[in-house]
Amino acid sequence: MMETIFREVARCSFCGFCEHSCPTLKRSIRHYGPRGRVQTILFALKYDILTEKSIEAIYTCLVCNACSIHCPGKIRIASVVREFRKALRDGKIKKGDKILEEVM
Amino acid sequence: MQKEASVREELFEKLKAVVGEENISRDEAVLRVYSYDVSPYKGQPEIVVRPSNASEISEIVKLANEYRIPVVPRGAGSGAAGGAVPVSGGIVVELTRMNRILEIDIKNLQVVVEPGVVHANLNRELAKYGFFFPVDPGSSEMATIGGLISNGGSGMRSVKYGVTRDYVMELEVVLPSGKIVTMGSKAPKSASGYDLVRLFVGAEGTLGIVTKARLKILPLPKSRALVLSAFDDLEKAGKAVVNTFSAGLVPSGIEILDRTAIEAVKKYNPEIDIPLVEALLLFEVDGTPRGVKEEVETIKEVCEKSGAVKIDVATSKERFDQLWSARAMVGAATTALNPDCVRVYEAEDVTVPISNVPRMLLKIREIGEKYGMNIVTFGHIGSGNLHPALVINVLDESEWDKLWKISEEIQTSAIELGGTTTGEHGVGIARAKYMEREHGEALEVMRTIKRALDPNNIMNPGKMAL
Ligand SMILES: Cc1cc2nc3c(=O)[nH]c(=O)nc-3n(C[C@H](O)[C@H](O)[C@H](O)COP(=O)(O)OP(=O)(O)OC[C@H]3O[C@@H](n4cnc5c(N)ncnc54)[C@H](O)[C@@H]3O)c2cc1C
Ligand code: SF4
Ligand code: SF4
Repeated sequence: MMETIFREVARCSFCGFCEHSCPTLKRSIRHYGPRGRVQTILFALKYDILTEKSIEAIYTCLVCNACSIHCPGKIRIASVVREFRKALRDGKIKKGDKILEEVM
Repeated sequence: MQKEASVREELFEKLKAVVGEENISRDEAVLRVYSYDVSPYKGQPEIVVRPSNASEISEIVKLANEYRIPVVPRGAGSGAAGGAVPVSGGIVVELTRMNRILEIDIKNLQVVVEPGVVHANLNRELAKYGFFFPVDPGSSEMATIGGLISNGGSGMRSVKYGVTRDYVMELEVVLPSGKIVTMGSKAPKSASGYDLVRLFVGAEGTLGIVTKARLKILPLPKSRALVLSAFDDLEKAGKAVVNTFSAGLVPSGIEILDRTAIEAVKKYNPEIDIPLVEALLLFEVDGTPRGVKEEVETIKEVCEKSGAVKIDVATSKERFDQLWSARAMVGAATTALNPDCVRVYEAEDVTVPISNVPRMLLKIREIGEKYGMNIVTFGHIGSGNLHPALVINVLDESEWDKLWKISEEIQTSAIELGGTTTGEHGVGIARAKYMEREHGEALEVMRTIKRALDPNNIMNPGKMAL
C-alpha cells in the first residue's frame, strides 16, 4: 500500500490546479491545500518528515474530492489522504521509519 | 545562512511579537511546504511568517536587516521560475492574508488592492460592475496580484491588452530598509520622475515587498468570438498571424497548438472536438457585436488566403468555453499522457519575435527528436510566447540529465532567434544563468540598483543573477 501511495504522490507536478477548489485553503493557510497535503505525504514517505502540524494538515482534509477533478495528473488526492490516514492509524507510518527504503 | 541557535531563537521571538503566534511557524513539515513553487527548484526557509499589513512587513524587514537573514516574499507559489523558493534559507513572508480589494473606483477606471488578492477573485468582483483587469494568466485561480506584478506576468490576451506592466499605476512598497514608500501616480498619465513603478514590476521581490497596488481597469467587452483555423504546415500558421496584423487587426489573443499539443488535448479529453493537424490557431476577438462580426470575417479571409485547411467560428458560449479550457489545460494535461511521467516546468516560457515563432516551433521539435522526448508545444503566438512542456519520469535520474540538456538547448535557441528565455514567468533561479547573455552590460546596471537599495542583500537573494 505504501508503494501505491508513494507512486501516486510522486506524480505531482506542483502545478497548483487543485488549490482553488479546496475549502480548507480558503482559510488562507497554505499547507492546508491539496498541493500541500500531497507534498506533506511525499515528505513523510521520502524524508521521514512527520510532525504534529503535518498530521494536522492531513486530518483537516475534508476528503471532499473537490480538488481531484482538477488534477491534470489525475492524482486521487482525497483517496491518497484517506489511505495515508489509515496507514497512520495502523502504525504503518511513524517518525523514524525509513519508509521509502522499505517502499522502493 | 545558519545562525547560532540562541540568536535564531531571539529573532523568532521578535518576529512572533510582530505577527502573532498563529502567523509564524518553524515546524519542519510546514517549512517544507514553503520549499517549492511550480518549478523544479527547492530550498527550505527557516521561518515562515504571514503578516497582515505593511507596517508588520516593515518590522519584519528591519529585523531581517538587523539579523542579516534573507527575506523571501511569497504569493500563491504558482510561479514557475523558483522566484518564491528560499534558496538561501531565511524568512518566507507569505502575503495571502493581505487579500482585500481596498477600493473600486469606476469613474477613474482604477482599483486598489492588497498583494494577496487572487487574480480570479479580482475579476469576479469587477465583473459585477461590468469591468475587468485585462491581464489574464492561465493561473488566474491561484496567482496573486503581488506575484503577477513581481513576475511581470501576462496571459492569453496580451496581444491587444498588453501585460501587467501596462496596468500598474501606483505601488506601495516596503523597501529593504523597512521604509514604506508609495511610487507612481493616481493620474491616468504622468511624466514626472523616474518610472519606479516599472522598476518594481518584474523585480521578483529582490528590491522590496509590494504591499498595495493601484491598477488600471477597463470595461468588459460586450462581445467575444473565437476563430479556429487549422493548418497542415507550421510556417503557414505563422504567416497567417503576420498577415492578420498586416490586415490591420489586433485580436485580443492568438494562440497556437502544434500537433503534439492537439494530441495531448485529445488524449486528455476525447470529447473536445478539434482537428488533428500540424497547427491550430485560435484567434479571439472582442468588442462591440458588430465589430466582432467584421473582425471574424476578416480573420477568416486572411486564414483562407494563408492556406488554412479548415476554419471554424465558435459563437456559442459552450463551444467558446470548451476551446479556451482545452487551451488552458494543455500544458498540465501532458502529465496525463503517460502514467509514469510528470511535466516538469523548465524552459517553459521562451519568447521570440512573432515572425520567428514557426522556426522556434521547428527547433523545439528537432531538439525533442534528438533526445527522444515528445515535447508538447503551445503558446501565445500573437506575442511570440511559447510554452514547451517537457515530460519525464521524475524518479529516474538519467531522465533529469536529459531534461537539463533539452532545457538549455531550447532556451539558447530562443536567445539566438532574437528572443528571451522568459516572456511572462520571470527569471528566478530557473533562468538566472541566461541573464548575462540576455542583458550584457545592462545586468551591471541592475546589480548597481540592487546594491543601492539592498546593500545587505537580504531581499530574495540568489535570484535573477543579481
Ligand atoms: C498552470 C500555470 C499557468 C500559468 N500561466 C501563466 C500565464 O498565463 N501568465 C503568467 O504570467 N504566468 C503564468 N503562470 C505563472 C505564475 O502563475 C505567475 O508567475 C504568477 O503571477 C505568480 O503569482 P504567485 O502569487 O503564485 O507568486 P509566487 O510564485 O508566490 O511569487 C512569484 C515571485 O514574486 C515574488 N513576490 C510575490 N509576491 C510579492 C510581493 N507582494 N512583493 C514582492 N515580491 C513578491 C516572489 O518572491 C517570487 O519571486 C502560470 C503558472 C501555472 C502553474
Ligand atoms: S479533498 Fe481535502 S485537499 Fe481536496 S479539496 Fe477537499 S479538503 Fe481540500
Ligand atoms: S493539481 Fe495534481 S499535480 Fe497539480 S499540484 Fe495539485 S496534486 Fe499536484
